Amino acid sequence: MKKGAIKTLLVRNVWHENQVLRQILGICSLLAVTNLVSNSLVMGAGLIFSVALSSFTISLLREFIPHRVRMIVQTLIIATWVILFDVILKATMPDISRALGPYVGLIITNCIIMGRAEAFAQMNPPVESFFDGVFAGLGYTIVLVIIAFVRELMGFGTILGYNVNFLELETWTIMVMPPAAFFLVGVMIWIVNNIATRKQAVGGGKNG
Amino acid sequence: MNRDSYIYTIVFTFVLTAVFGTVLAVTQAYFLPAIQENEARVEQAAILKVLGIVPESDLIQAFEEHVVPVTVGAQNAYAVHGVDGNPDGYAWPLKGQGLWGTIRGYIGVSADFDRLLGLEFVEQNETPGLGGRIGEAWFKEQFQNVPIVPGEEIVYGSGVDAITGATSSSNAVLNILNQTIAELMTYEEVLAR
Repeated sequence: MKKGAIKTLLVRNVWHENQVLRQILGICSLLAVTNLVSNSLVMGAGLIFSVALSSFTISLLREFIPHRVRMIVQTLIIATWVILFDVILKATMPDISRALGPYVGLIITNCIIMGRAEAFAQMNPPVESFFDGVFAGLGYTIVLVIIAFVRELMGFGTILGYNVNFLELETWTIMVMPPAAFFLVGVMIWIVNNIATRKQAVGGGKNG
Repeated sequence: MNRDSYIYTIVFTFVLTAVFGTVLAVTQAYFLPAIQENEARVEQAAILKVLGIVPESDLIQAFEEHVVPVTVGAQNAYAVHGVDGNPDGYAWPLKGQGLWGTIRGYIGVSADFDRLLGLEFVEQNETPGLGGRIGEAWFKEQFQNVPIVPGEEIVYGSGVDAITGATSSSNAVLNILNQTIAELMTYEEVLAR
């Protein structure tokens, strides 16, 4: 692996091609889990694990997978990793598994995993694909946690379950509901796009 | 070897599915005892909780010490025995349809069937942060010591509050609870004998 390649992958996946903010992928699970910071962290961890190992496996097999059936093969690999993750979690960490419960299915259907498989893993070596997966998952997790922070703070007056609503302000029920994530992710996309365009104008578009 | 030939595609898909399927089956079989034990512990913890027993040290030990399984009709109920040997209360399984999936748990009733001792869920798939809050302590604790009056259903507003923004899940819990109590009352004589 070339020197600096990891850093390039990191910057690209977390900022330039952030899965949520730039590629608008993974929105479905974002709407569902961002009402609590703890849910978002668990979902993010599950996704990083699944996308990294799925990308790694798909990359290992990339020379052997027939093109005609590559998507169904990718789904098979992704589902295998997610179910393995679920089984091991159930056996060794039952409390976390119970908290994760309904999200495991959401991980299999997360478009980010298949997106990385199609866009990166099927034409790059395994180690690069693994890191590409980790960073794509990280970019997703960061966005999730930021949105969850705002939603939990305004919707429940808590952060990670701890009460921070010292002034006893009225909490907003809308923030607990999925539409709030739409508003917040829209605002975030707007801010990030603005910063990116400004940077591009200043830096002469070298980061394209 | 032509990667896109029919034969290769079929053989490849077949082999890959077999390999991954085997890996999953072996892992599942290997972890099954641990998973079942974890699940049994969740059930036991819920039964102890609805009966109002706080385990001093070990959960399994407390369960074996205090709880006597009784079979009533097709149901497995659990009785808790007081110091004098007579039952102090009963735990009864609760099951029904929530908003997204099955809600399963236990209710505890006093030995003379006049009040609830507690309510616990062992399985629920309600929306996290909304209906999922039926699993929070404040919600479940509201049902402690709610009187059971034959022919009358428990309703929200009278000492028990629903969850804001989760009307469907709150109502589902109440319906399941009232059904379970009604069912339980038909077994009152059998259990109290």
